[in-house]
Formats: sequence, structure tokens, C-alpha cells
Amino acid sequence: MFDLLSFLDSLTFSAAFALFDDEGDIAYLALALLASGFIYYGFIYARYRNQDKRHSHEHETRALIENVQVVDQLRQHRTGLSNAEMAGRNDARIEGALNRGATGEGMLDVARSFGVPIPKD
Amino acid sequence: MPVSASDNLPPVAGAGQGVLPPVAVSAPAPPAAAAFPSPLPVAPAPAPPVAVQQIAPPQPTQPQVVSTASGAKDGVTKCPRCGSSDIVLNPMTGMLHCNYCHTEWSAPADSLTGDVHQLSGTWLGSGAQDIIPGTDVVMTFKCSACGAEVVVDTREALQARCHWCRNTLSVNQQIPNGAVPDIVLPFRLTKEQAQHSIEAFVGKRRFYAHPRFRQEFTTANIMGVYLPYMVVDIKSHVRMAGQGEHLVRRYTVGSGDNRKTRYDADLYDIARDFDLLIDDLTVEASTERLQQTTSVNSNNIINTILPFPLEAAVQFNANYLRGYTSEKRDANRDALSSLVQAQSRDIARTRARSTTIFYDRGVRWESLNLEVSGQLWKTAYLPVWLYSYLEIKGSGKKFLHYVAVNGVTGETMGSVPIHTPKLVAVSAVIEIIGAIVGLAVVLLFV
Repeated sequence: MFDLLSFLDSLTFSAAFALFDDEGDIAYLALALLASGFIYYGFIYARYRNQDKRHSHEHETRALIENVQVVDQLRQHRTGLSNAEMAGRNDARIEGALNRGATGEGMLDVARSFGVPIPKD
Repeated sequence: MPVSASDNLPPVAGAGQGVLPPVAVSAPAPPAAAAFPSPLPVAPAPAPPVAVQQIAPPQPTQPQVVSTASGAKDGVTKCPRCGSSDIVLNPMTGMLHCNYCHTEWSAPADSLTGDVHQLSGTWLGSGAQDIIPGTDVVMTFKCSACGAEVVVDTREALQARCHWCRNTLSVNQQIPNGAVPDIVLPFRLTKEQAQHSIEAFVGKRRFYAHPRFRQEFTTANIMGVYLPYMVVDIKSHVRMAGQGEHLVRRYTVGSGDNRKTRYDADLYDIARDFDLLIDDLTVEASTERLQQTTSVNSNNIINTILPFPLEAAVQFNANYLRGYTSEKRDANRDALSSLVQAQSRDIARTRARSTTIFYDRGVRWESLNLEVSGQLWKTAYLPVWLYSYLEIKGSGKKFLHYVAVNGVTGETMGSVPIHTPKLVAVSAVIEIIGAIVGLAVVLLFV
């Protein structure tokens, strides 16, 4: 049994380190290992309780857009940016989900508007 | 029997169902870098930077009502062939079935189908009108077969059997207490199929399930419930303005420990202007189901099994409810309009992404103006198979878990009570092993 675990461990290490090519990535791996128990707990809890689930109305509702007019005007060439994404990006923002756990924001004001009591964190 | 509503039809064209394809976009190509104007028709002027999330003001005119209950009669509903009142839903076909002569029939909800393109103004199905507080919920009927008086409590059922002649009496006419909707989507999943789905769902989650739950779990008592929803068709015009960034170059600067990734990007001012047609946006019409605070309840589970294929919905007939339970609507259109508007804006934002693929670093919308020019609201009973389990925790705190199955599509979602000590123990073991390995990695490689 011990030998098998050692073998699996070595396989896991080989596979893991093949994916990481600099010290920053290895540091992330170490951090993930150090928090593995908490990550496992969160994963299982989510799988059993499904608190993050909701109806994806933005994708699952039938909708059609027509007569599209677009304006795209170059404003500025920006260099040396440190973030991979645009600052303040909100094109995937969801405000119409009632489940707070699913988006972490959004429908509190709407919910309050029809009298749903929202406990304060 | 089809609904006759010739004088009350909304201005819709055609009588077909399923007026919109699942997703279809008059998709523009992304602009070439710094190449503009766009190949698509360009708006004369970009959308002005109006206030963020500005909502069109409510329409001044009163909503117009489409009768969805014309021809509906309270009392004994008879089989059109033999006159028997022993009528049930056949979930295999989604049609009403006469238990006496085996005739099957249904009544499509013709008065509420049509082309969303043609919607203008605000329209309500007659079952979606505001609930009038104080409306009697207990109704008394005179049995048309034998003359006896029969009482129906509409909070719990829309049918009762005459205790003298055994005929079934139904409430089909709309009364302003939210009990009778415009349309109903019949169950298509049998109880056995739903039981199988629930057992499979829970079966995958048995290891950490609470021991008492595992001991008590049985699907024998699952309930088929018609839950109340508001279904909305919307014709609108959307104007969005903001900025988008397109990645030009990704590179690395520095060396050794100071190596960093950097990006060059083009920033664009962008605007999108389009018509948005939404078909069958569905929201809960029960105040209790609208509460989806997951630390308090598991109503999000029932929300998750949306959407329903509403093109198969039919005119309401209480016989579809026989053998099932139903929950009365208690939320009016005004209370739901802000939710519907918020979800419409989400749909607008999501559909607009198909026109901004070029902006691979993202888009920051600064204004979104959704102007509704036509809307049709209708109430619906939609079918859900429901398993519920009341967990009483050590502290005495109660939590109601649901496993829900969409009564048509079979989509299943649920919440299973967890045996916390077991999960904590296993997580702790994983944490100890992970910590040892993680420390080894730190010592060896960092």
C-alpha cells in the first residue's frame, strides 16, 4: 500500500511540475497544496448543497437581437498594462439573479423592492 | 376546446408557436484593429452617455387585457365525447384523458401566442391581473348533475368531488385571487421517472450525506406540484455605450525574480444599438419562492430547473391538476417588474457580447438604456416534481432541503444535508497531507 501511494505521489509530482515552468507557478501549486483541505471541503459542500446554482436567465431565455448598429472608434493605444483584463470590465455582469450566492451581487435592491427580507452580512 | 378571443387578441401576426429560434443574432463581424467605420450600418451618432442603467419610464396607458378564460366554465367539466367527468392528465401525451371512453384532447393557448415583433403596448393575460385582497378563496358550487352544494378551497385545490353523485367539479373561471392562471404546462414526466432522477441525484451524494437523511430518504412521497410563474414577452430597443479593449501584444519584461507579464492594447469608444425581442422570460410569482437567500432556504434549487418549454403550454383547465398539488400566485406584475427589467438588461448585455468578440480584454459599459415598446404578461402553472427533507440541526435550527425535477425536461437539481463531522475529518486528513507536500515543494523549489 505504501509503495502504491509513493508511486502515485511521484506520478502526481511529475505531472504537476510538467505544467509549471517558473517559480511563480510553483508557488501557486504550493499554496494550493497548503490549502487543499479547505478546497476539498468547499468543493464537496458546493456539490451537495448547490448553493451557487441558479437559472441562467441571460443564456437560457429565448431572445433575438435585430437591426444592430455599431460604433467602434479607436481612442487610444495603451502600453505596458499589467492586468490581463480591462479594468472595470462589466460585460458579463448579472444583476437579475435572486440567488446571492450565484453572483455575489445584484438583485438585493430588486428583492428589497418587493419586500423580501435580506439579512445583513 | 380552443380559446375564442377574437375581440381581445393582442396585435400579433400569425398563430404559430415558438416564434423565436433558441439564439439568433444578426451578428456583426468584429472591427479590424483601428479599421473603422464598421462594416455594419453605423448609427448616425453614438448613443449619448445617459445615466447608467437608465430604465425607460413606465408607459402611461393602462394595460390591455387578453381574455384567456373565455369558454371556461366552473362546475362539472365533461368529456367532449361521452360526457363523463372522470378526466385526468395523461403525462405520456400531455393531454387530458377520459377514464371512461379513453378519449384524449387538449386546448392550445392560442390567444397568447404570436410574433413578438408585432407587440405594441402593455398586454396582460386575464389571469395575470392584480390579485384583489379579500377575494373569497372558498367557493361554493351547485353540482349541475345532482344539485348538491360543493365547496372548493382554492388555496389547496381547484377541484372537488360531489359527495352525492361523485362527479368532479372544477374551478376554471379566473377569480382575482391568483388561483387560476392563463396557461398550464402539463406534466410530461411520470412519478416513476422523477423518482429515478431523484434517486440518481442523491445516489451520487450519499457518502457525505447526513446519516439520518440516508436512513429516512425515500422517493415514495415525492409531490407533483404546479408552481406559479409569470411569463413575459418583451419587445424593446437597447442602446449601450462604453469602452472596449483589444489585445495587441503580450510580452515579458525584467528577468529572474523580477520577470513580469505586460500587455499592449487598443482602447475603443464603442456603442451598440439594437432591437431586443425576448420570448417567455419566466420569473417566480410566489413571494416565498422569490426568497433565494441560500443560507436560509434552498429555493434556488427550484429556480435552477428553469426553463420550461412553454410552447407546449395549454389553456388552463383544472383537470390538468388532478392528482397533483398547486401553489397559488401571490405576486403581482408591479412587484415583479423590476426583476423582469433587470433580467432583460442581463439578456441585452449577454446578447451584445456576440457583437464585441473583437474586444478580447473585455468591455466596460457605461450606459445601458432598455426602452420597452411592447410587453405581454401571462401567468402560468409549471410542473415540478419535488422531494423535500426538513433537516433539524443540533442547535434546533431547521433547514428545508429540496430536490426538484423539471416536470417536462427532467432537469434535476437538489440540496442534500451534509454530515459535517465526517466531511471535516476527511478534509483535515487531506489538509495534513497537502500541507506536508506543500511544505516539501516550498523547501525544494522556491
